[in-house]
Amino acid sequence: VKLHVLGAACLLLAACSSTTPPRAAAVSHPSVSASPTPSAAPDNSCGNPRASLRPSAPLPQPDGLPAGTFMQQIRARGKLVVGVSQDTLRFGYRNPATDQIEGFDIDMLKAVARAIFGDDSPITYHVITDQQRIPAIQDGSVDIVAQTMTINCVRWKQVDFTTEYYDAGQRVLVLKNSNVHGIDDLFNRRVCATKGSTSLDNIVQAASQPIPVAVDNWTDCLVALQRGEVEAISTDDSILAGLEAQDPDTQIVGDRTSDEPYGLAINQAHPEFVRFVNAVLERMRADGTWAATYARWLSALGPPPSPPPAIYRD
Amino acid sequence: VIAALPRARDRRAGWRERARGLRGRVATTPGRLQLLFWLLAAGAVLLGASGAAAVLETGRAVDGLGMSAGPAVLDARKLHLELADADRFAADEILIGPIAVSSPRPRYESDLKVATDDLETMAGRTTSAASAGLLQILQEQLLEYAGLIEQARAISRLGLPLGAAYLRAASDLMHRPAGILARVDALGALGDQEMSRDDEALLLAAIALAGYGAIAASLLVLLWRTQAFLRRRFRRRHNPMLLVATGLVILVSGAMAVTVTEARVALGSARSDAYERLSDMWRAREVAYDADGSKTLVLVAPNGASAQRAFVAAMRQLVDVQLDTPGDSPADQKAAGIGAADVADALNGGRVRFGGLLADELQHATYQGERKAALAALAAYQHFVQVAAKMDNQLQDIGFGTAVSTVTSDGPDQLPSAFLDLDSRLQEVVAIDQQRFDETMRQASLVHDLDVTVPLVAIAIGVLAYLGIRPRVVEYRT
Repeated sequence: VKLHVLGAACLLLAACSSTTPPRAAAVSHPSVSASPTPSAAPDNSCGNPRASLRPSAPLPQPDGLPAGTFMQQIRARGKLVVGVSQDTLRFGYRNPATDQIEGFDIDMLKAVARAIFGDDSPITYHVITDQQRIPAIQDGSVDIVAQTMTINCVRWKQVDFTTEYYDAGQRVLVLKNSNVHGIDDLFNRRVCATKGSTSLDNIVQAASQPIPVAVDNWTDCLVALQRGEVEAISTDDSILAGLEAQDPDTQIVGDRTSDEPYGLAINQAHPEFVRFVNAVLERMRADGTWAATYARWLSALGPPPSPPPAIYRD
Repeated sequence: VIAALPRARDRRAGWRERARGLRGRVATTPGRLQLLFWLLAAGAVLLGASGAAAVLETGRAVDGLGMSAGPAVLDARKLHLELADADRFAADEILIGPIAVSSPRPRYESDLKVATDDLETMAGRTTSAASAGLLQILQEQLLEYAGLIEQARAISRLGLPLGAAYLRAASDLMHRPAGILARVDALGALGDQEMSRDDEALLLAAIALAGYGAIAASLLVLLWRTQAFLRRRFRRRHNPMLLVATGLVILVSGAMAVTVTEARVALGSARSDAYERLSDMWRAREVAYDADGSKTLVLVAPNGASAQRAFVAAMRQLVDVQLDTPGDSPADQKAAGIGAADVADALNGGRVRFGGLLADELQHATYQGERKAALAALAAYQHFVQVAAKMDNQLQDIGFGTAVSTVTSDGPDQLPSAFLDLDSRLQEVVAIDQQRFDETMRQASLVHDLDVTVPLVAIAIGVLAYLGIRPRVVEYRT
């Protein structure tokens, strides 16, 4: 009898294509995070983490890249290898309709590719998780990572960052019928974030003592929320807005509880590449490309703000 | 106590009196004949019972392998590959997106329907509580899986990345340690356990066969002595009925010895060779389906490392050599080179210097056609591995879209066609092994011919004893 029910359900499900996913009660699979351990004070050992390396000269033409630099190596290789997300709507996601990876982060990388090659097509995308961002940079499997990556002093010890290209802040996403109104209401409740993200660190350190639940991708968090496996998702408002857009039964609540400045991450062995990309970002800020890119991808978040100012350490 | 003593003495005296009476009756010719008849009748009954037990228990072991436990294991393997295939094509549909010219959806639906039907058949056939429990959990998990896939599909068609997350949740349900495929494998393991219980039937059959031999020998002695007694008392050369009965005992005992021994030998051979080969080749198909699915999952899950590990583990079950994968250490690359050379050498008629299911098949091939089929499967494996490595390199060097194309396109040198070739080659080997298994089991099943024969012959022996002795008793009295 059960098998007949199963067959009928398959047909029924095939016939229905609901835009609003139902909330199935299900077994929980995301893992409750045991790490990272909370630390009382943020690491400020690097001074101002937003401060990056100053461009050493005006941006050269693609065919005039300085010899012996990493940019020249990339040009000689014929492709820029980048680490991106494929499921962060508006920043880096694979559009099933076009089979292309698109978003605000992706357009940042295309600008870098244009500066090296003169066009943005020679890019090889490596889809990675948040947890794989730093290892991918360190082992050289990608040249640069653009993946909603927060600049902070802990990470400066592992990779170099460009200047800030987007200013985000951590908030909370819940179901509309939830009685949670912010991070303070999450005592002893399961809250989802991705492994290796600063959001997970912030959940662990939150005074309201939520139970952190770690998954690989942000959309996995939304599945967990829809299936009742977690009660909230907490991360950057920019990412949450993308998740909220995929489920009209969710809403972002509470104030920003942290500043999350996004930077492009580069291997510490290539400071000249950091300076080069900072020059690219400088030009984007100045010629209106940044504002146009914001308008293309993030207009749902509100009118384009001023681009985050570039801060340099030397 | 004092009052009870005389009663006990009286009882003992009564028994002695009865024994004296019996001895007196047996001492007479009709009494002796009646005694011999009853002894022969009892011997015939015991002969029938022990013979039937030996035949039935051997038959039970034969049926266990050929009709119950064996098919249960193979059915579980078939179910495993159907579900792995369904998962692969569900993932393909999300990877390709709604712009695809040919949708993988019908293949997913067909796989799921066949798997659902197979589950229904298995549920209807099972007699074990453990299997029934597993099948119930499987039905529930499959319902949940189908729901997640439908969610993934509906959301993906809206162009949202959340669809891929639902697909990952579904694939996790399919592949995780307590997931659907693990439970299907557990069903197969129950079949294996059932097969080991058939060993008890074989032991019982051996005991019954030994008992049968002793009883048959005693019966022959008794028939010979009865014949001798009648010759002495009635001056006739032979009693034809008893002679026929003696012949029947010898005949059925010989048939028993030959048939049961042949069945046991065939069963042993089926288990240690034909069935093992067949089961291994079904396992090879199952493993190939897992490997094929893993390649799609590498693309669906951004941290495709675990899916890549699953692919390598699956392929190494087929041919146990290091695979060439991007990012390998120089030592691993060297080992992969040696492995590839070993496979090429085997394909060129050289020695098989590697392990794994395909290597076992090659080494156990008994005739040229079988070896040829195994070599064709090995060549298809080699091509599949090369195409998979090409996809790895595309993912590493060219980009996601090209790798997706290699995994989902139908053209030559793409993963689907390479897998199709591998699976069809493995099916050819399965067909050869199935034929050999069926032949062996047909030989073993001949034991069932004796199911009715032995009891009938026992009854006939009893009747012949009666017909042989009764006229002499009557003759003596008249």
